[in-house]
Amino acid sequence: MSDAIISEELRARVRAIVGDVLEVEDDGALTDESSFADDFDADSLLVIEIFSRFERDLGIKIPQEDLTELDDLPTAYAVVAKHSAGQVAGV
Amino acid sequence: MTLTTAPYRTDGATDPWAPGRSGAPFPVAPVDLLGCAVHSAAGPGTAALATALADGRGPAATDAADRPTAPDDVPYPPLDVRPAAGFDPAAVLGRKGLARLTRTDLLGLATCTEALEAVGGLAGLNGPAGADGSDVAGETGVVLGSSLGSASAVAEFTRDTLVQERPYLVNPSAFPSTLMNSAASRAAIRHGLTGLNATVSGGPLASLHALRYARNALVRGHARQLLVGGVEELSPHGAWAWHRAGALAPDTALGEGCAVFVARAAPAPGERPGPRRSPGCSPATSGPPSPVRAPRRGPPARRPRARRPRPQRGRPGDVAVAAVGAAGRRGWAAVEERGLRLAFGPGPEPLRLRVQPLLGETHSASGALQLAAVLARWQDVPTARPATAERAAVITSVGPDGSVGCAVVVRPESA
Repeated sequence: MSDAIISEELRARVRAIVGDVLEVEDDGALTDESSFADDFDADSLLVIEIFSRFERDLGIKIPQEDLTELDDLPTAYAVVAKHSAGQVAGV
Repeated sequence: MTLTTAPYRTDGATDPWAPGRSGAPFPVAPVDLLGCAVHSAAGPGTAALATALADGRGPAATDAADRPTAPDDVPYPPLDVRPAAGFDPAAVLGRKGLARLTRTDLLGLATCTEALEAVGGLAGLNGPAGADGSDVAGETGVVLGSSLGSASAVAEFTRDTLVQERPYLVNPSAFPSTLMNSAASRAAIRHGLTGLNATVSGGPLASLHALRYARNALVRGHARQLLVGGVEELSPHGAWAWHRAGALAPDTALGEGCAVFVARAAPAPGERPGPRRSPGCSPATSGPPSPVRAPRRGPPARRPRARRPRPQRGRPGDVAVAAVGAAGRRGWAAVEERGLRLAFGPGPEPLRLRVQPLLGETHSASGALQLAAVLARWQDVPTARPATAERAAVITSVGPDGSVGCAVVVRPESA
């Protein structure tokens, strides 16, 4: 995905949600290079929970077709940016 | 109830416990209990349970840190509650992933883990199976008695569908724990046990149902050994249900707990026994009692015993202890007492072992906790109760729908 525009605040919230779901205790352990599955034992259910928390906490709607493989923060930023921008624009 | 079966290879041997086998020491096939783990208001382990039973008193004050909490700080009703004292699941299971587990999951998973550790893990269960343990995992299963699984998880998940902005904005990770079989399946997954896995629902008889289910599976060769027991959680949600229903007997606390036993079909005469044995026990519900043999006192032996004493047929007079289960329910203790008097007739009355004053009403875990209390009495305070004086005990449960259950447990020293 391309580098979508996402505010620093939203980026921090996305990172906090992912860290919370994956139970990352060390704040510095979750980096843009981290693999959710390889580094934090994420399974498919946890990935679904991350999407669910994005919808619930950020007030966005992610359509079914975008519930793709999510394994790192840049992908998460891109998904959130795409759909939060769409909703702001009233799409 | 969910069930998967992994047939135990018998290599064409006939069922050693088929009805009518001559020389059997019990009228029905017994199973051996190889090890036990327990959590209750008395604290972790049978030694703590034995000490509390000897004192005859419940905890003086509930440690607030032990009391399970609910999201949004749902308050408890004005009931005396007895949480599992000193229960520290992170110490047994590690910290990772615990946030998604319910109290029922934590109690069941931690107690199953400790029961397995008590017999030396899968390697300790090898016996005649392969030395690498691979066969053992496939022939080992989990059977837990429960009422609803986690009532609090069901309540919270259902509540979320009503209070979130959209009904589908529930936490998907919370869903697996709303299933009744969550604790048993998580225990199997954690330890790689691919044998039979079942959760038996039966209210106050759930633990005895589970014991009977496990015994049937073992003696019919559907599993080589089973982790079997009962689990009940304490939560504000469940406590409010008890409070509103008014079903607790006066001055009865509401408790929680879990007891898990490692059970294996008793070897037939002449058959080489497994590496470890503990007391025998035979459960029955609404039918003839079935024997279970309790674990042997002290740490399990490292090597198989060379020979077994010749078993003798049990008699009603051997039953020296009756661990009763209905004392926590308004009106049902009298029914249970009448049944016991009818069963034992004019002979010597077995001593009544009441765990509810100590542990509170523990509903679906009660039968398993009563059995753990008997084992604690025999294993951890052995000198005061020699096997010659207390050869066997009965565990009884009575349900408000009229269902009744009974298990007989026999000490190995006397079997």
